[in-house]
Amino acid sequence: MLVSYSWIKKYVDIDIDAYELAEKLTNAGVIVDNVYDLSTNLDNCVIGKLEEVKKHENSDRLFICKVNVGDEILQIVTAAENVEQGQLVPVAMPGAHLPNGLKIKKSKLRGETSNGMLISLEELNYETKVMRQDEKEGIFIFPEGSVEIGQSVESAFSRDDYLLELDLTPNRSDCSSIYGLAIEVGAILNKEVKLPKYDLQPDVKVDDLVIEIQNESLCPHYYGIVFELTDDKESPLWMQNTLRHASMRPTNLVVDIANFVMLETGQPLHTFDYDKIKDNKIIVREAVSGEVLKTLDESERVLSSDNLVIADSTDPVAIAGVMGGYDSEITKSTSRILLESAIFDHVSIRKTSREFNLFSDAASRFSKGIGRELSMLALIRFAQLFEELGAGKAISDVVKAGSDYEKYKTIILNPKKVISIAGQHIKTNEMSNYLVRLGFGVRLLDNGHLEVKSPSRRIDIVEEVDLVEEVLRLKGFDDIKATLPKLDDIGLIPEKIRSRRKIKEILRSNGASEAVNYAFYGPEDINRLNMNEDNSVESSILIGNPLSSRNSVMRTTLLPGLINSLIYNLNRQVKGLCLSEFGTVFNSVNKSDLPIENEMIGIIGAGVQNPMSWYDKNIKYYNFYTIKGIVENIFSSLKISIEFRRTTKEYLHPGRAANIYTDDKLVGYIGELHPDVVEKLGLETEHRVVYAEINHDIIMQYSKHTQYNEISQFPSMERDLAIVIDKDIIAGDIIKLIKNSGGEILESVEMFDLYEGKQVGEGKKSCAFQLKFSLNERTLKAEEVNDAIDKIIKSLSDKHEAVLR
Amino acid sequence: MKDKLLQIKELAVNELKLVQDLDSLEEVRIKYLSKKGELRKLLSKMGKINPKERPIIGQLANEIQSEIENLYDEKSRELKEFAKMMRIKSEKIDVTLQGEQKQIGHQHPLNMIYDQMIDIFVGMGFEVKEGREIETDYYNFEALNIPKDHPARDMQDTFYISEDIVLRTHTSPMQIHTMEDKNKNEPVKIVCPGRVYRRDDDATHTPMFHQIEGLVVGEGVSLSDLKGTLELFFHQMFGESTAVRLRPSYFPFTEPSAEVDITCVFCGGAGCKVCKNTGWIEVLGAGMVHPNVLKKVGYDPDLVTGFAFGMGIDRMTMLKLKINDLRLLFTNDIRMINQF
Repeated sequence: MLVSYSWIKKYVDIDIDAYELAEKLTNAGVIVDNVYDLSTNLDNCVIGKLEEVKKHENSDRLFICKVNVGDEILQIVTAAENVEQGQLVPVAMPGAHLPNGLKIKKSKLRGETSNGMLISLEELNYETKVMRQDEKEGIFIFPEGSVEIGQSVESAFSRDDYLLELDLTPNRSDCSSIYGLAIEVGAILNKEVKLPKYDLQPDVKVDDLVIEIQNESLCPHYYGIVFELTDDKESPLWMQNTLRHASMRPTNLVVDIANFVMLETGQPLHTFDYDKIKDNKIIVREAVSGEVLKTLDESERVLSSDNLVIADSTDPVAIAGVMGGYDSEITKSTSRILLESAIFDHVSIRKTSREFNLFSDAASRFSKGIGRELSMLALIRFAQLFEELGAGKAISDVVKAGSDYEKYKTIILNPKKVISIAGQHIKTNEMSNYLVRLGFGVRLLDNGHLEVKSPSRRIDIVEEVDLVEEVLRLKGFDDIKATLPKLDDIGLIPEKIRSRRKIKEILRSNGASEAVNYAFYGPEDINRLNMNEDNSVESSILIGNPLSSRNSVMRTTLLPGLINSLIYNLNRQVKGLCLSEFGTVFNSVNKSDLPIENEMIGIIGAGVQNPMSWYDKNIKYYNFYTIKGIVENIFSSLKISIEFRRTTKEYLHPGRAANIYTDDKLVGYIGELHPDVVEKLGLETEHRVVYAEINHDIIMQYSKHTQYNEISQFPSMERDLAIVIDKDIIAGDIIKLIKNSGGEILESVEMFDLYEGKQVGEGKKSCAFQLKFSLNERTLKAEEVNDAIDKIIKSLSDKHEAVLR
Repeated sequence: MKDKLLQIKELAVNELKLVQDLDSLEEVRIKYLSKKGELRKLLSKMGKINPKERPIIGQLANEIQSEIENLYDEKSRELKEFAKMMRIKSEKIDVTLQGEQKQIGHQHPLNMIYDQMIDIFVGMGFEVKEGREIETDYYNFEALNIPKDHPARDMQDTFYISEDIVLRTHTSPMQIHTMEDKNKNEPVKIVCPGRVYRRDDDATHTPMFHQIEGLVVGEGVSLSDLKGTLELFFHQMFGESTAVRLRPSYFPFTEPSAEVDITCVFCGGAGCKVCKNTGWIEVLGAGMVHPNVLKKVGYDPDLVTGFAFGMGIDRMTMLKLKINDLRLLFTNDIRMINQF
């Protein structure tokens, strides 16, 4: 919101400049984001009169103007089509450096000298939305008699001023008006605020206006008054300037006055053509479902009972507080107008405004809430300006409907509360001072408490703590000391974070870097991975109002995010990488309950793992076993034993995928992406992309605290065992069998060689294992080990027809 | 016999002196000292000499044997030493060649700062609580004094799953859960880090980001405690010279509320482009817990008070590591990650 510094200054005696004022306001919680100096870059810009306008002989589009700027007549060539002799226009003379950056020099246009430029609002840096159509297309023409020849553009456009750009917090809607802000400034600077008082003296000709409110909780009060409209001319230049500086477009006198009063008082006003109101009756009611109203923007709005409307005896004439009706709008033929100054329920206005996507200035003010005392203030101010500016006169008394209201709300403030919240001593007298400056009534009670009367315009003040804030914010937070809470406390990190940190360390030491992705993706991310079986979009949690479909599905797996990160890097000359991520996935139970959230660990690897080097001529690529090794390292350092069981998933290579189990509980999976998926992703087909995903929440439950296992004092015995078996028998089964049949003296089994080829025969493979035997309490005898080996060999041959090699 | 012994000695000594390498040395050893060497060969004939001379000859033989052995040992040491020297000399390598680097992974800057901030707070006696990311409207808004259709709902554009279920817009729901789990008026001192979501996507906002919020509730907890706590935190985060400034503001769940500025980390407060020449940068929102929030969880605002604060981990990461583009935090460019 943009507010004029000099407008506030009218009502309160400000003795500091706009920049200092901005700082003081900000420090009191009324945040000023920027201060704009409106007078910059207006040197050499004056008002000129077009004494002569003629067509350029060598051009169809150019005009040559003789412009009287007071002390001289300048010849200026212009392309503006709206020039006419006798007009008063803004002129930028040579040497001017305009607000929009344009520099003006003497020049020649098709042989004719041009000593400057006739300028439009655009050159003066006004926003397009504050310009009328003709002002967008041509130069600016001043209303007759509003300016003088030679007068500076700065004064003509009231630009000897500063604009404060306010970023008001939602509770301080009372500061979104000049009056409200003046009171705030007065309180901060400790200066008196002089708000003008106006009288209303209608020339009563109309007494048939009836106002009825059906539901006072939606409309606490509604004031109406009828005016005779004699001349709906253009509003005076000063008013137009004021509106433009507040980002509003001047239109005609009645609308401009209503907007001006809204800016000044904060109360939105609405005007109707009184003769279009059937039976002179205004009814504030909830719309009947299906009722239709053509609004000012000429759209037909179908209303429901959620919408509050202003109706005449039969039909809606406005959507209350949001937008007026087309048919009751003021037109050229309007002779009597009805002014509405009312309060509507902010929740209702907010809903309706959202429903119709109509965010007018009025709607936004109503939905933040308006103090009830403002309605009458605004109505009288409108009447005063209406008459003063020659639009006409009030011809009815104010017709009021609705409830009375308390001018003040009484709240008891215990000074001790202020002191305990601030954490330091403040005198009661000082507190009372601040509150009085803000326009509150204050009385010291016998028990030392303060009885505070808060005016109705301060709708944010409802309880004691609100007053505490008022005191402290006026005192200023800079004065607050810095202390530390006196609590018995112990810093604690939850087990989950500890576990996460440990696993991240293992991941990093195994070459996996960390990625962070959004927790949502689009249906196409799932589709291109052929993931529809396990992670179908239909069964996922969907965002009801996503920014785009690309970010509309809550992730059920980390794979799509990691795939995107992988591709991003592979497309940037990275030859290979391994990434890991900890992230929440979301699975729905049923639509009305909160989803199940699980933290997953995703690991992805593809491309070159170790490039060729002088010490190793072999390039290593990520493959199933590199990623599997990382997974195994994680589990072994968490002391969790796991088992891999072959599985199939539509997006994984059918021969290269496994589920990971702990105690028969599924904790994750690993697999190489299906070649079809790799192809679909646009990756080179020789790329092996391997992915593993582990459920962190589940494995945390199995993770064991590390405890010392005694080291055997006695030497262990190592034996190698090489067997030939059928090719299809998996290593996992063999090792399991060896472990089961080796007895308690078998300490470990490692497979160290695998061979397939002619020497062992078609359909066979040779596997070699190193077995380690030991006992903690004594040295093993050779016979014991031999016995164990015999048992192992026997069970291998019984079960798998293994033959010793 | 004696002459023969002396002759062998002389021959052996001469040969040993001439030996140049370990192989020839071994030949000499075999020739004279081994079981089949010259000395043994000669001594095997001892039986043929006069028994009276035997001890004398025997002693001489022993003396000669040990003399040759000593000489041999000396020569052996000398040659081995020389051989080692030669080997060392030949084993010179290019120490500037690259070592065998095992590939290691790198921390994501967000994770790094996430942990760093947690550790600072734990050191200050805070308990860390993470929580769920999809929440009910009640925990995300209602319990925090933001009823439906409250204008403050505009402050945080929200992603809705259904009318009643939202992606949390802050980690504040965890504050409510924590107080609900405690006994009435029991002191609380927690920080809640985690992912949060707002419906915003431009150069300075991402629809998902990370936040850490703090809550301290107890008897006599005051605004000055908030200021002191934040000062202590920022001194550790950005250095002792960092100043903290509170400005009044508004949040529905705190009152009084404050925006908190710290000394600009780019110019040290001198004024620069980033801080718009003010010397300050806004880093967080904070305030005293609103009595309505305490009431909602059954605490008595007349007996206990509290403060709360919340800041963006992403923003802290950018400030701390001087990362100038928010987007970089979510593209996972390995050229950036490898720097940490």
